[in-house]
Amino acid sequence: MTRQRGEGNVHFPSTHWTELAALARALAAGDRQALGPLIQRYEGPLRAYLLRERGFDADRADDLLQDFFVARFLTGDLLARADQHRGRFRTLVLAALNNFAASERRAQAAVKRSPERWVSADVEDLEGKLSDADSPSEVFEAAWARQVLQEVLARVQERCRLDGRADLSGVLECRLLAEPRASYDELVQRFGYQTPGQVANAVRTATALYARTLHEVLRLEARDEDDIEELKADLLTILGKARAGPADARRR
Amino acid sequence: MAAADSFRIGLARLSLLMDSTTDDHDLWLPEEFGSIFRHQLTAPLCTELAGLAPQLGEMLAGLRTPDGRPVATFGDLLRHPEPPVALLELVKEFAKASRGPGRRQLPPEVASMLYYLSIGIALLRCDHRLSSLSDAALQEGFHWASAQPWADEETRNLLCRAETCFLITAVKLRHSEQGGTPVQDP
Repeated sequence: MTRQRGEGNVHFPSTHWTELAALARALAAGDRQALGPLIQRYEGPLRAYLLRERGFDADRADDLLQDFFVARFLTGDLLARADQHRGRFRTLVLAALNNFAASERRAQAAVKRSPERWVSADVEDLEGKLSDADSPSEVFEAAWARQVLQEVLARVQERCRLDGRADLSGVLECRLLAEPRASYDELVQRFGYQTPGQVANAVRTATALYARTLHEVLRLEARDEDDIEELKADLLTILGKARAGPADARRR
Repeated sequence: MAAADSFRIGLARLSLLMDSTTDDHDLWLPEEFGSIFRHQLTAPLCTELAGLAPQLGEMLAGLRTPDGRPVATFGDLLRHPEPPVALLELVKEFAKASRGPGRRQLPPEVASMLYYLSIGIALLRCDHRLSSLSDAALQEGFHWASAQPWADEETRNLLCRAETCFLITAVKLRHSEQGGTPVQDP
């Protein structure tokens, strides 16, 4: 992985996750910086899944996630096993969380010397919360999509700041992403463009920067370049579902 | 300003953003043509035309607006009572290039407006024909431009006068061909 131009001290991996698996195995203990962006991307969506879909309280969710990231991500175990996985990386992560929680439950049950009735209640509660591991989670998917798009925006903002082109991230936010979008006159007034050509070039550059950054962000979860295009399609599908509302409402 | 929420934008627009190879489909909105045209009139001539004429500085030297300011913008030039034909020619070429394929600097509609405006001004104020287009084509162009709702009143009036010149010429020509007495100019 290499630092990308104009990013100063910001470190953005630019490799497919299959390469990260090899890197993770080679990392010295404590040196896990390369995996940081991947963990940051999944922390929010997994938390949302535990809270909103599985009914965890915040403290239990946070504890479980912390243990999960240490046990599965930072050891490289998840990435190593992902080589054999043919589905989406995020599907693997979600399944891994469910499996991790189940094995934690089994380990706790084996260690505890509490009355069986109490253990059973706790076990049943956890199993009830984490059953049905194979069904897709719209909560998780929507949170993942939101996290990806926010990450893209944050990277674009940082790149523009380092390059001295804050106007480009401003154009992206107010003209290309915002609803309602900023008017032409607002763009001219806010960013001081002298000619329509400068406005057009700024919009084109901001658009290209967003597309390029999205490509880079998705590369971290892709097996190869073809996979990236499928991930973009996933994003649009997930966003479409999110706009349509909950599944049960759509079925009515 | 709070970070924009990508989740809220339309799927169609997000789809365009995701693809860096898309054309300028979403670049300009029709309801903004008036703003873009007005902005172009305030654009510096030295910025926009320098690529067309290395000697632009010399062409602008000493050229003043009626109130004594240096002619610096498109608007200054196009409102000048006696604009140099060579500069109007550059504006026409700039507009023509802006309509062409590739990374356009203006919406085609605004570029066309500028194109016909420069030709119309050369006709009315300099008695000079900048374009090799036929009378019918020019008349049609002036008519189109003057009918655009986003054109300002001054521009619209000028284009109507330019169109009228061709109408009168056409009437004179038909009258002459039919052997009638010459039509007097108004």
